Amino acid sequence: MTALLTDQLTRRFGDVIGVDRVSLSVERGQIFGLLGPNGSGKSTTLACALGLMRPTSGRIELLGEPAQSIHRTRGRVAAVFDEPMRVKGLTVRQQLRYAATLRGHAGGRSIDEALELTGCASLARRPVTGLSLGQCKRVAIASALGGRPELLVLDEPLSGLDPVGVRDLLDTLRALAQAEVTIILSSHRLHELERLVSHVAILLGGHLAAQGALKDLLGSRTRHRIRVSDPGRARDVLGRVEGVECLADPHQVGMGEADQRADSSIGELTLDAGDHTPGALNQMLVEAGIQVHELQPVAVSLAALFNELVAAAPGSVAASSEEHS
Amino acid sequence: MKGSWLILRAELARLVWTRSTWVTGLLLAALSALRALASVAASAGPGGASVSSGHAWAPLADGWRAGLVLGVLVLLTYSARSIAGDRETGVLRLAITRSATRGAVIWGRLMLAPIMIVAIVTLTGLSAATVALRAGDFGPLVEDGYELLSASELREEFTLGLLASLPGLWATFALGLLISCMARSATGAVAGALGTFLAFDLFKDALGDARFAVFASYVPTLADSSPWGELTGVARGFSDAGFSDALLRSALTVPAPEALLLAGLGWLVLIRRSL
Repeated sequence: MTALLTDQLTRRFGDVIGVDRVSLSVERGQIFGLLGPNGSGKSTTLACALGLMRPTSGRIELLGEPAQSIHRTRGRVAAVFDEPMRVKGLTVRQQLRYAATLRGHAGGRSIDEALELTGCASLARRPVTGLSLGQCKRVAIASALGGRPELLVLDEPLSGLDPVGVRDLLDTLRALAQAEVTIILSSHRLHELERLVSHVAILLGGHLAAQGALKDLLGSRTRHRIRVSDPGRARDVLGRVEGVECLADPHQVGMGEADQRADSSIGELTLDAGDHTPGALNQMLVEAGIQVHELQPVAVSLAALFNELVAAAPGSVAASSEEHS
Repeated sequence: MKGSWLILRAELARLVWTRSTWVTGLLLAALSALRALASVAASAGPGGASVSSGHAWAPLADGWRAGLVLGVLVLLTYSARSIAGDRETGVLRLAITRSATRGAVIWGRLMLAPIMIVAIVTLTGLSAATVALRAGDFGPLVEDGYELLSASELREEFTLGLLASLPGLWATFALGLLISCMARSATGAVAGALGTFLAFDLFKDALGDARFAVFASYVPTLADSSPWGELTGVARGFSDAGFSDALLRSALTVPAPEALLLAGLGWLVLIRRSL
């Protein structure tokens, strides 16, 4: 069953495109990562999905309800935003009680359990306005976990958290996912996200650049690292083969050194072999008189995939790529 | 409707939990008491009250009215801050994603208003009455052995004056909500609401009888044209004081539809806004 469905979601701000014909499908039980550089439309997509912003066009359903009728989900959806909520004048416990009152029904996880789960038990009596950003974020997550949400939407949940906080939150989210809570989160922390999410969508300039199961997306982009006797000539040979791309700047995909070693004629190349098998690559090089010392597939990381898509996107800049690596 | 109830319950709980609510309550009570005390002191001095009985009515009217004048500003400030402030702090997003429609966000608060109004009226009234009792009794107003008004007539006048103010106070709250929905920040909302309200207070004399088409004419303010303004004269037995049936009727009928209209406009604004 679908937890979130957006069909041709478009949101414009005057002449500026926030998101353009984005169609997402998040099935129940998934941990879904929504990725993209700043201004790519992640928060706009989530705001539209949560009924906080009206789309210009398109259809959105959340747990089977139209986004504009999100109130009908009656506490089955919980959201944590980049700027965490602080109800002035209340303590942490009171803020959680306030959120529970808005949820409107008893049952599910208690306030104490939610505080314990997020490591906020010691903060319970402190005023929310006196908390650090990281603490406030954990309290907001505790507030979201109250009751028994079926869908948890988190916009940049890891920002502002220290390493221990990040680890604890990821553990909590994994535990929730095992309890069949669907989780949708946006984040720039790609390394942490890779260890957590099952599915991703990547937004670039308001357009959907990629979507699918993480292992499928990464698996379809397997690279090959080749150690050869003459890397310069190997690059020329392979560069002439249709469908083969030598990745001149390996940092672009984060897969190690490609420069020729200064102290030896042996060097490494990293390449996208397209549909060519490792055996075919080997044969091409050997026929060209190049000695192949090693040829092995290399798994692409989420960060590498992300940066590759950013670099390939029209109007991309290296700076934005570096920012997210 | 359920969403409105949830908002009402949550906002009521927040009011009770927040320290500033209690501080504001104390201030209201203190102002009413102080004003009543000033009235007691004035009536005890030379040229003071000429009545020989019912000395407590005038301090009660003065103190209660002073408390309500501040109460009006408290209601307006609270309602103006509520939605704009909650949008700034993320509370509104929580409400919308949890259980409430945008309409419920407004109607729930509008349902909270009567509770706040009753609390303010009770608090300021009790505070003023406690001090007024030091000045004398709540008996008939007797001057030179002649009973100007009986105690029951005075109670009736006070009750009518009070009832006539309640719809206006509700509409005042609704004005704050409308401005809160329109404003970009809580500070802007409070400034806008107070500015609009005080501007009307300054210019309402120039409007002549047309001012009685606006709810704000029926709430106690510094330039008071409400039944409460007249009540302070009635409590002293002034022969020219008193509110007409027409004023009473319009005070009871004009503000409530305007409150609903203001809240409806607020809803129209809010459903179009991104949160």
